[in-house]
Amino acid sequence: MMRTFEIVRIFALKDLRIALTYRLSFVLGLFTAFYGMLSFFFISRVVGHSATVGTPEEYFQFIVVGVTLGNVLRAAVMTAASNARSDQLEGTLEILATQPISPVALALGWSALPVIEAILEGAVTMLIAVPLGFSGFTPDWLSVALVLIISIVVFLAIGFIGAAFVLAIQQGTGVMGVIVATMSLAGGTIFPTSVLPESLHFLTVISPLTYTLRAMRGAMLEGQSPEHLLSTSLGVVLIYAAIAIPLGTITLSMSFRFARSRGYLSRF
Amino acid sequence: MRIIRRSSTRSREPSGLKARQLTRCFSGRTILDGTDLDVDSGVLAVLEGPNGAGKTTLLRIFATVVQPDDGTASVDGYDVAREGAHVRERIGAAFVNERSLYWRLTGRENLRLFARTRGLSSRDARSQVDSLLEELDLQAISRRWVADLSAGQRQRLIIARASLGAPTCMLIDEPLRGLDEVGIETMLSFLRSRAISGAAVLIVAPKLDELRGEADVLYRLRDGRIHPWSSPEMVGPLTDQPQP
Repeated sequence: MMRTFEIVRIFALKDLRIALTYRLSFVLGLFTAFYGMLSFFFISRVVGHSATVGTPEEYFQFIVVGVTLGNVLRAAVMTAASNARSDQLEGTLEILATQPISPVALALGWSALPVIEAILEGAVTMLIAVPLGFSGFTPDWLSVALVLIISIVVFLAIGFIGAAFVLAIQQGTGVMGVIVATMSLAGGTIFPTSVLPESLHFLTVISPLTYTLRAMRGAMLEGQSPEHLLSTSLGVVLIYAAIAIPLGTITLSMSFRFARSRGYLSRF
Repeated sequence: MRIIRRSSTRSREPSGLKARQLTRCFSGRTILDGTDLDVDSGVLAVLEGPNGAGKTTLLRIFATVVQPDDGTASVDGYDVAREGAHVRERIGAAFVNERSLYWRLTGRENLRLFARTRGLSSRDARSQVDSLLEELDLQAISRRWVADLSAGQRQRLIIARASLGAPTCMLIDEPLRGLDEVGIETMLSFLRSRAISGAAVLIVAPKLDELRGEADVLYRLRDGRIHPWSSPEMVGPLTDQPQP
């Protein structure tokens, strides 16, 4: 376990060093977050007077939590696959495969910095949103931390499956993009799931994002306790964790074995 | 073909690289066809063969990035297909691919990254990287981005990376590629020093050139097999009589 954490730390620092050589992109990311929040603020003024989404302030708070958590989870799901693909295309994957590193440590290393970045960006986004109306509630910070950690673990495990696709068939980022888009649509990122047509409700029910968003909104906007959340939405997320972690880990290990047997680690 | 130049030393049994009846096909084409190979600890072996002969495939099998279709290969007695994790702890691999370095990191940062992935502590990684940079005459450029280095400098970095963590078996693809005369001399001396310190060093190259004088054992790969030196298939530079 310590070795895995060490590998993850090493790769996160490596990605940070490389990211720091592209400083402008970080600044531009903050601008994007600011303009995004501003857009959602004005949208909330337009649509936020209905029984479904409540007052403009309530809808703005709903959307801020949805977008920031959605971005964190998108990073957790997508980056193992996209960074595996980068290493594959850039030529570093083959040499990484000769190192004494477990597949899980490598995949976590691929995701570590993007997830940390997304959390920090989320925090900055929320700060930007405060003067726009993201205030007037009392979060249960322990619940917030618990939801964030459990959700990230679940979505990282789902991301392992994307990385497995990349290793096995040299593609997978597109598949993960479709999965993330579907979860975002059905999970209630920027609108309540109740407005979805009946035929799409099954997607809402099976999407883990639905429950993580409910849990996070409960923790953040309504100050719900960990006990309450664990007996409701967060409990469902834990069931997803029990399925996704072994499934993701086994799939990733199998894909490495498959890629070694086919010689795909040297291909792109 | 095999020409023994020096006696080999084995520190323990079983050690070094061993292949038996290795077979590997890609897209219906047989690349390795019942290949046998032995490189003992402390031996510097050179495997020569034309492009497409299967040299790099053999190297990749020992490095665990490709598995054989048939036959066995082992590193220090560990089977590459079944005991890959143990194998990866023992090998240092260098393939012909300068893109295998992170180009927006410096040479030193690249080496330290891989030193840590091999399990070295921060202090050991620093000291080993310093030592390798000095041995391969890379100190002056070690703080430059890899993107700003010449092909020969990148090649030396790749070989330095393969030496991190003092692997017991080194797998080196065309080590002299892109090097100037001084670089070749430095590289040969470096690889010799690894063998003297007990590593089994397997070098593959399309031509022997300067490698001929440095090898303890010479092999030649033709049509996926290592031929006896006197076979009719033998042509080209390896027509020397083997030394006793």
